[in-house]
Amino acid sequence: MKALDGIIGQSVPKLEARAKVTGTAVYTDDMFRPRMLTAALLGSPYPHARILSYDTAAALALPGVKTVLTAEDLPPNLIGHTFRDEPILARSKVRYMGEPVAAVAAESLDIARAALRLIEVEFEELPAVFEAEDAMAEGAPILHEDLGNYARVVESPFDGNVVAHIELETGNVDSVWEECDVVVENEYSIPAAQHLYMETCSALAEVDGTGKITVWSSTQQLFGTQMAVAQALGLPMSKVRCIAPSVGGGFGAKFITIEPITAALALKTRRPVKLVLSRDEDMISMRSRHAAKIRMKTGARKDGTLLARDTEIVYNGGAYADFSPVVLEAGMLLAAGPYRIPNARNVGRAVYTNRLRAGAMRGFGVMQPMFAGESQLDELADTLGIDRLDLRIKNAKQSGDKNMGSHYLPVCRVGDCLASIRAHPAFILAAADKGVLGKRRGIGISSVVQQSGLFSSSANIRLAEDGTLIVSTGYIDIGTGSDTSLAQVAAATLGVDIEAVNIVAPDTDGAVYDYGTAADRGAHGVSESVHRAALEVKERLIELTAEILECATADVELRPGGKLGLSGVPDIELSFADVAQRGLYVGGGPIIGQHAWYMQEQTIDPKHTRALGFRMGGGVFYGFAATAVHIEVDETTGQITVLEAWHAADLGRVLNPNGALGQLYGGVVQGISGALMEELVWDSGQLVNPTLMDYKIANSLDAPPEIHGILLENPDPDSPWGARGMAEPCIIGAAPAIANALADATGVRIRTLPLTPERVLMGLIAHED
Amino acid sequence: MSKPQSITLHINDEDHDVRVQTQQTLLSVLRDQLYLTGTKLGCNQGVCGACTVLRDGVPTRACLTLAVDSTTFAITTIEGIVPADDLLPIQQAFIDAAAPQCGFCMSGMVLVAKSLLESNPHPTREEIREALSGNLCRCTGYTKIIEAIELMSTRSA
Repeated sequence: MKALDGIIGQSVPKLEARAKVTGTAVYTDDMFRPRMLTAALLGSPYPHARILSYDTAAALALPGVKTVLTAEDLPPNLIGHTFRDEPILARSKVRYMGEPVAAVAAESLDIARAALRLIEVEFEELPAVFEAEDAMAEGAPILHEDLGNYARVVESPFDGNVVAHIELETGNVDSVWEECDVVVENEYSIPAAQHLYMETCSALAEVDGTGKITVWSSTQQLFGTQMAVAQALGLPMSKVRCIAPSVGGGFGAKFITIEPITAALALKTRRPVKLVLSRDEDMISMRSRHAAKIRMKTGARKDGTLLARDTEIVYNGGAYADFSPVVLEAGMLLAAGPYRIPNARNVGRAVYTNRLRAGAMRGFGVMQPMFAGESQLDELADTLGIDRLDLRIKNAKQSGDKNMGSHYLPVCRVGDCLASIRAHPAFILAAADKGVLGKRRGIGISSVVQQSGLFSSSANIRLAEDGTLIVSTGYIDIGTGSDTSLAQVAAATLGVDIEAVNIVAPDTDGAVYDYGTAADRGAHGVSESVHRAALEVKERLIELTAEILECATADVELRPGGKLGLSGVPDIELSFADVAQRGLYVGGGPIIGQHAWYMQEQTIDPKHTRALGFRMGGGVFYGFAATAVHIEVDETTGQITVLEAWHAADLGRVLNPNGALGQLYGGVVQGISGALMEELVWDSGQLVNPTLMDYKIANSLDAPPEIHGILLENPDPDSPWGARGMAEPCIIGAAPAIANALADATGVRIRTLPLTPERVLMGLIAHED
Repeated sequence: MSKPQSITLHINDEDHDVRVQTQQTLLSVLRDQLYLTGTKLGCNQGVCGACTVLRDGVPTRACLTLAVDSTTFAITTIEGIVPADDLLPIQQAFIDAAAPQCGFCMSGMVLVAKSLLESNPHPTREEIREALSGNLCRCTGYTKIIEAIELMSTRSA
C-alpha cells in the first residue's frame, strides 16, 4: 500500500499551469464590467511642496469625465503599515515627485488622461532632501511635521526625519578590538532598486446596491487591503470585499497599492472603475527597495576565529514609513550574518527623504548588510591569508546555536551549504579557470541567513458531498506555487489525490484569514494551518465512520484514495463521499476542519542582547543558504558576465522540487540582475529611469546558462513535514558573490552596487595605477 | 484624436470588423475591443515582450504595432494557436517543466518558443537563450522556460 503522504516531495504540476500557458488565467486588467469607467492619476511635479489650491472645473467639464477627486473630496484618513502617515491622495503637501494628487474616472483612458492635463493645482515649493544623511543633518527640511501624532504599530524611537532607530548589541564590541589580530573596516553602498513584477499594479472596484464595495486587485495581501480601503474611506470592513485574481508577481511591493483610490472613485461615481498603472506610473509611484549606506568593521584572530563585528546602517525610506521600521528590524537582527560572532553591535536608522517610498522587497532588509558582510569576509580572509570558504565554514553557525537576541536555531546547515558547493564537480572546474588576459575569470561565494514567518494564518477545510476537499486560507499564490504545495499538504494529510483538492480563490467574503504572501510564510506557517485543519477533518471522518461501522474509533483506518475502513478487514471500506453524505443528510453535520494561529516570534533575552527600539522580535524561523558564481570580466569594457551559478538552500524539507527550484533559479537571477544593472536614479527628486528601456533587468542572455540548485533537506522540527520557506535567501547572496568573484578575477574590490561596466572599468584603471 | 475608421483584422482565422483610432495599437484592439486578454500589457514600449503575437507566424510586439497597419496580416494570439480544449505539445512541455510562475510573461514565451521550434526543432541552449532574449520574466530566471523548450526538442526527436 502506498503511503498516504507520498505526494509530499513530488513535482506535482502547478494547479494553474494550464491556465497560464493558454493565456486564460485572469489578471485584474483582464476583467471588464458593464458600464466600467477607466481611471488615471495626476502626479506631483514637485518633490516637496505645499498644496495651496485646486481647480478641477475644466477637467470636470470635459465630456466623458465622470469625477475628479482630490484630498478635499476624501475623508482626512491616513493609512500605512507601521505609521499611518499616508493619505491616498496628497493632502496639504506632496512629499515626492509623482505622488498622486488627483484622480479622474472617465469613459475611456484617453479622456481620463486628457482630463489630468486640465487640472490646475497651485503649489508652493519647499526645500527638499533626497539623501538619508542629508535628511538627518541639522536644519534639514522636515517631511512629516506631525510624525509624533501618527497612529503607529511600532515602538522604535523616532525624531525629525528619522522614522525608526534600532540598536542591538550582544557581547561587548568595544572591549575586544585589541584582542583581534586583524580588523577590516569599510563602507558599502546599495542603491534603491525595484521589484519589477511584470504585471503593473491594477485594481477594479465596484459598488453594489447595498453600498458594499468589491475590489479586485493585483495584491499580495487580501485582508490588509480590505482594512486599508475601509480605513481610508471611513467605512466598516463589512462594507469592503477584496478579491485577488491571478497576480503577475509581487516580490514584496504589492501590499496595499491603488485599491483605496480606485474604491473611492467607484464609490463617488457608483460605476465600476478600473485603474491600471502604466509602467512609468508604477515605477514612479509604487515602491522601491531601500537604498542603504553601511559602515562595517569585523575583527578576527590570526586563526580566523571571528571575534567582533560592528555595523551601522542608514536606510533611505523615502517619503512614507511603509515597512521601513520593520525592514530595519530585519537588518538589525541579521547584520552579523550566519556566523558565530560573540560580540556584535548593529545600529540602524530608517530615514524619510523626498523620494519614492521604500518598502518590503524580497531579501527584506537583509540583502543590504549581507552585501557588506560577505564582501568584508573575503577582505578579511585575504588579509589573514586564509581560504575564503574555510573562513566561512570555520565560523558558520550550527544547529542548536543562538542568533542575536538569544534566538534559538533548531536547524542550521549553512556550513553544509558551503561544503556542498565546494564539492560540486562543476565548481571545482570553475575554480581552476582564471580566464585569459583581457578576459579574466574568477569565482566568488557568499553565505547568508534570512529570518522568516510572521503574524497570523488560518485554514478552513470542508468535505464536499462527493468527498473532495474545499481548502480556504486567503493566502495568495502570486507565482510562488503555494496553491499547489498547500494542496499537496492537504492531500497528504488525508491521503487523497491532488485532483480531489479545491484551493479556494482568495476572497475576503469567503476565505478565513491570512496576513499575506510575505516572508516565506507559505511553506511553514500557512501549510501548518492546512495540515492542522486537515487533521481535524480526519478526526471527524473517523468519528462518523466509527458510528456507521459501529466500531471503536481506534479500529478505523484512513486508506489512500479518500477511503476509510475497518482495521485488518480490507473488504469493509467507505469512501469520503459516503461519510460526508452521512454527516450532511443523516446526522453529524458537515465535516469541517479549522486551524488558526499566530507565528510566535522569539523575544530578545536582555541578558544576552542589549536592545533599543526593537519590538517585533522576529525569528519565527531562520533560513540559510550559500551562493557561488563563476564570472568573466571584460577588461576592455568592464562588463561582467556570470558564466555559471550555484545555490545551496537549507530548506528543511522539499514539498515540491520543481516549485522549489523555480523559486531558487528566479531568486538567483533576480539577485544577479540587481547586482549588475539595477539602480533607480533620481535627479533633483525626479526619477529619471522609470521605464524598462532605461532601467534594465536581466533577460535570458544576462542570466547564466547554468544554475546548479542544491536542495539540502534536514526537516525543521516545528513544521509539518519539516518544510521551511526558501524564496528569500536565494536573492540575497548573488551580489556579494559577484563582488567577491570580481576581486578574485581582477583584484578590484568594489563596495558600491550595481557593478556596472563603468564602475568596474574605473576600478580596473584605478587598480592598475 | 482622429476620427475612428472601420477596418477588418484577420485574427485567429476569423475576420473581425472593428472601429479604431489611427493611433490605436493592435494590443489595445485585441484586449479592450475583442477581449482577447491572453496578450498582456507589460510596458507598452516594446521592451518586455508580454504583448507578443504572431504576425504571419512571426513574433511581433502588439504594443508597437498599429491596428490600422495590421489588416494585411494573419494575426495569431495565444487563444488562437490551438482549439480551446486542447494543448500544443509545447504548452504541455511548459507545464511538465513547471515553467509558469506568476504567468504574466507566459503567452509571449509560448509564442516565441513555438516560432523558434518551427524554424529550428532542436535548438541549442544558446539558440534558445537568444530567442527568448526579447521576452522578460522576473520570476523564473528563465531556467525552466529554457528547460521546457529543451524538453520539447527531446520529445520531437
